[in-house]
Amino acid sequence: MRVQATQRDDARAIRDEVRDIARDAGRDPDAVRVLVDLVTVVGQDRRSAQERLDLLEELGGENGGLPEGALTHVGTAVDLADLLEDWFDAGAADGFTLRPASLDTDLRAIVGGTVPVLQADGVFRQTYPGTTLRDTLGLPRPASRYAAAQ
Amino acid sequence: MTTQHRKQIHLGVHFPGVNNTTVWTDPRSGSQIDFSSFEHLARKAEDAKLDFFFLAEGLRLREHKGRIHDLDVVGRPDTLPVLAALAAVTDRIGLAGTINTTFNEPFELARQFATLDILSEGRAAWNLVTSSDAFTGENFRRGGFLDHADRYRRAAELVEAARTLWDSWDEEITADGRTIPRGAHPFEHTGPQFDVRGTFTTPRSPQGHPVLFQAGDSSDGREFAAATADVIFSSHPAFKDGQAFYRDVKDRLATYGRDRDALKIIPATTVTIGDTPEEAAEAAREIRLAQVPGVTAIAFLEQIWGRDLTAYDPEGPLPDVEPDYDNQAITRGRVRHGDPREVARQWRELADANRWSIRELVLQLTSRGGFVGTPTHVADEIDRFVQEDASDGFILVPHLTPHGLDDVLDRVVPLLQERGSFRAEYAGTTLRDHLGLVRPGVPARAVA
Repeated sequence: MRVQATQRDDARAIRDEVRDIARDAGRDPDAVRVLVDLVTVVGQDRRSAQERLDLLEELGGENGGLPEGALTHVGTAVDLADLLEDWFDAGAADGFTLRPASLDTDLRAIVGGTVPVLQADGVFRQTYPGTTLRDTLGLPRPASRYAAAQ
Repeated sequence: MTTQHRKQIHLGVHFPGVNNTTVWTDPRSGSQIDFSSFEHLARKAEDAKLDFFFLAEGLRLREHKGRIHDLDVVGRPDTLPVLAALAAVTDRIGLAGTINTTFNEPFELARQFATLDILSEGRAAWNLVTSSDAFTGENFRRGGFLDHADRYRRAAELVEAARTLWDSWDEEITADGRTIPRGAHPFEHTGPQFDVRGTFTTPRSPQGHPVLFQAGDSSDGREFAAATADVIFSSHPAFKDGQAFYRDVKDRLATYGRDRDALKIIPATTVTIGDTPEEAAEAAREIRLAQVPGVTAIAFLEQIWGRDLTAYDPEGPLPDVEPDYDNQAITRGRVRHGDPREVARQWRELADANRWSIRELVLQLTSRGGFVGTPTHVADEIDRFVQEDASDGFILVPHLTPHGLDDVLDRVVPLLQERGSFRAEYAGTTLRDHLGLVRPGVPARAVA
């Protein structure tokens, strides 16, 4: 489930509620992954990131700017790793849907600077655990209702 | 002989769908589901510079005597995602997909085919088929809602609506011939089948409109094709019959203000080659026997007999019992053979006159002709059919998935290229380029 929240405590409240509802519905709460939307503007330092954000807002015009209401990180790749870990450790998110403000620039910074930190800290995979998206998200594969009869 | 004087042959490959053309019992037979099977045939055909890859569709698993008919293909993936995936692993070959016009909305189909055309950079084709079969319709919200007589009316209106949507975007043609989609205009289509208005969300695609194939053979189907289609996927593999069909359909084009070259007639055919004529004939006979084992022959007969015939020997004479004409729903999801009394009478007459066993009768009835011989002979025949207007080319149907056409592509196509009847290289990038079809422009619009 994708959620939008700008405050960690708000995200945690949403995630707790989703897990409660899943439990009440007879589901394993871990079978529902709550992913927080996160807009990124990643730079070498905080100032260069802020400068790019200013430029994007200048260019963006009425609809072309960054999404409103979503958590936004403006800073370095390592700071981004710290933010992700902080929200994750606090139970505010099972993961994140990253929305790079500049696809190429941000993606490079995240892959080159953020992911290695998360891997070193042991909170992100080094290799894919399996082949399917369910494997990657750690979700069980639904059984066929006829499986027992085979 | 030079290329200019020869009519150019158009060739496609057919990825096997339902029916008993494919010999699934052959150990070389691969998956009809794995992407690698689709990829092999598409890339192999592209290496040979073929016009297009063709994908059939089945919307309900066939049933026979109340059970899934598992002598045939059971299950396959959806047409459009397969073609979209193929667009990523091929560069030039056209990608033709069969999608039923009875159960879908013009907005979604227009979007999907325009998207495929964008992803493939101008290689999309839509094979329009119709169905009024309630058994297939059960899978859909409206069920078997459409009268048989209305199936082409709906198809024609669906195409008209789809074209309205494709034409609702402006485009600019650059000096170097590229087209760039520009703004969208509101669209509106009102008719007995569809009543839709809004704005279309998919930009004008490289071909303007995807190429339209049509496969119906009835008079209504021919008329619909003459009015609407770019390609007819026909079933007239015999020479004289092919010429008659060709003339009939091409003669209908003038009524719609269309050029005789604006509609290509491309029947399906099988090809069996061998180093000698005898070797090829023997291989063809073996394939036919494998396509129609005894159990398949009995099941085929049961469709008309309407009763269980498993006690009969497929190598023996036709059953002495009369068909049960009240039980014609024994097979579901298959095209009907016509009036069962008349069909049964004809079959008995044929079998008696020729002293055919059940299996031999079914072998003869399900024979689709096809080219059999040395590579040179097959190339001669394909070329003769096209040069003498029995067709504009062929869709090659393999008996094995996915390697069944490898030998034809490797050994027959080069001979056609040598004699200048088939391209040695792609001249253009889009399927319209390959087929020699004009790209539709956007209609003139009043300036708002």
